[in-house]
Amino acid sequence: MFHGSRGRWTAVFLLVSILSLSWVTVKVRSALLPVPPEGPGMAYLRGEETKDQSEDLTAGQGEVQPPSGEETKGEGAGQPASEEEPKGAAAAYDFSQPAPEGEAVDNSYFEDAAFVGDSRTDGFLIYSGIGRGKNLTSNGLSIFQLKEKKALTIEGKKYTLLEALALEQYSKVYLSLGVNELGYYDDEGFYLSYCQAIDAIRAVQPEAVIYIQNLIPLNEGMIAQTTGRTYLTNAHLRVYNELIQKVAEEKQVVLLDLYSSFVNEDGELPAEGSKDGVHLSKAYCQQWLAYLQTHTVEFETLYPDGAPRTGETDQGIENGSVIE
Amino acid sequence: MKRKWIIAGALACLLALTACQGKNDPAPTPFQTDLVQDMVEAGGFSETLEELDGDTAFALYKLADYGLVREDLTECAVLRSSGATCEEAAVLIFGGEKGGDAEAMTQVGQALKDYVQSQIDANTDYRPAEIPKLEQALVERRGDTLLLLVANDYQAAQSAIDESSR
Repeated sequence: MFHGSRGRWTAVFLLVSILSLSWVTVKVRSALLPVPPEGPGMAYLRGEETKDQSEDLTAGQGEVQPPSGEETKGEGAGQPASEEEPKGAAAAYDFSQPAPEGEAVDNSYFEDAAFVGDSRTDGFLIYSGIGRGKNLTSNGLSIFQLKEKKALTIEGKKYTLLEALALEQYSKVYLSLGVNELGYYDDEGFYLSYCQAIDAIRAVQPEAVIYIQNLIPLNEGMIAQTTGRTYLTNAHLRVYNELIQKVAEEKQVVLLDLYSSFVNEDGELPAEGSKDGVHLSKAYCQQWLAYLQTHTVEFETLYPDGAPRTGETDQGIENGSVIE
Repeated sequence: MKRKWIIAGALACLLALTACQGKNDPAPTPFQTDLVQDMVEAGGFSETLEELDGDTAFALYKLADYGLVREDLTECAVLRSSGATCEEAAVLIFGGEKGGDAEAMTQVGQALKDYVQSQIDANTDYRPAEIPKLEQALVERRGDTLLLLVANDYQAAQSAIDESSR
């Protein structure tokens, strides 16, 4: 068809034209699509990142189906779906990013929530004014001990926090662990143990939204003045926060970025936020609560096709991270 | 015979004196919520403590597990460390039926003692330096009021208690 030098140039010209037209079409379509609303209970799109997430969520299940009656989810409220947009494309939640800020819920939201953590979380439950939620905390607890340490006594019987978690059903589980682990210098072990913890929590609370909270910074100066624990450093804490973000993406749980909410310009917890550089003052616990109130996500938004089963999302890490 | 009358008389006098002593012994002054701040000002604590409200105190001391309802706790003043130490001071005042119920007040005392023990258990490995303070914890009942004290300087705190009892 395109013989000779002139023919070849014509073919090249046509090919470039087709490619350019396709590119322009894609760009125009993206520009016309409205920005989806972000907030509690609202799915949101993050451009090209959604494709991979959709694939992860629907592996082996065929095409993604949005929740019933929500074909336009992610297109913007009241906006009709673009005709070119394939029907049934789900607005997948981006687990690699922190939960977006939304309208504040009141404390009744935490009525059916369990809080699993260490002394920081215990302080949060006492001083924030939340007044609700199951306290499943233990001073000095680390993610490495979650399965073994009989930290709670209920009606005379000792339980690990995970065993205690299984005694009731919750709609939300908030996990906050990591500070006591800073002294172990086992980053890979921390990551794997965290993944195991998520699997264990999901196994006993399959219908719960699992929130994992990254680590609130420390004030190293105050630590030096009080306990003198030199292993408590913000540099290592930030490494753990990167790992926690990785866990959120890997295990498809909601990441809460408390670190960014509390850190000052020096990369530390402000001195007025704590008496010992670790445990938060009442005012900062109240700030913590305000963050949780404005960063909530509905279960259906996260898992429109149902929650992933334990160990279903462990590609990319060793199989050893999945527990029985 | 005369000797018997002397002994009987002496016994009667002794009994009468004992009875008078009981009548004149004043009941201990109930704890007032101001006492918590007085103990702070007396230097009983090593750090600035955080204030807790009645709802939080009722839950913290697990008073529901000891047969009380929130309405029984009519007034309180609670200051507690936010985590740097285990120091704490609380005056709890009860009213209604439970306030006048000696058995109920004994249960509250037990709740506070159990709370202190749970603090010892939870902090033995985590904050060992705080254990001596917890082991000296003071739980005292006066009528329908109770005091819980975990101080850094018990002598200073006690001086405030003594002052308030005058």
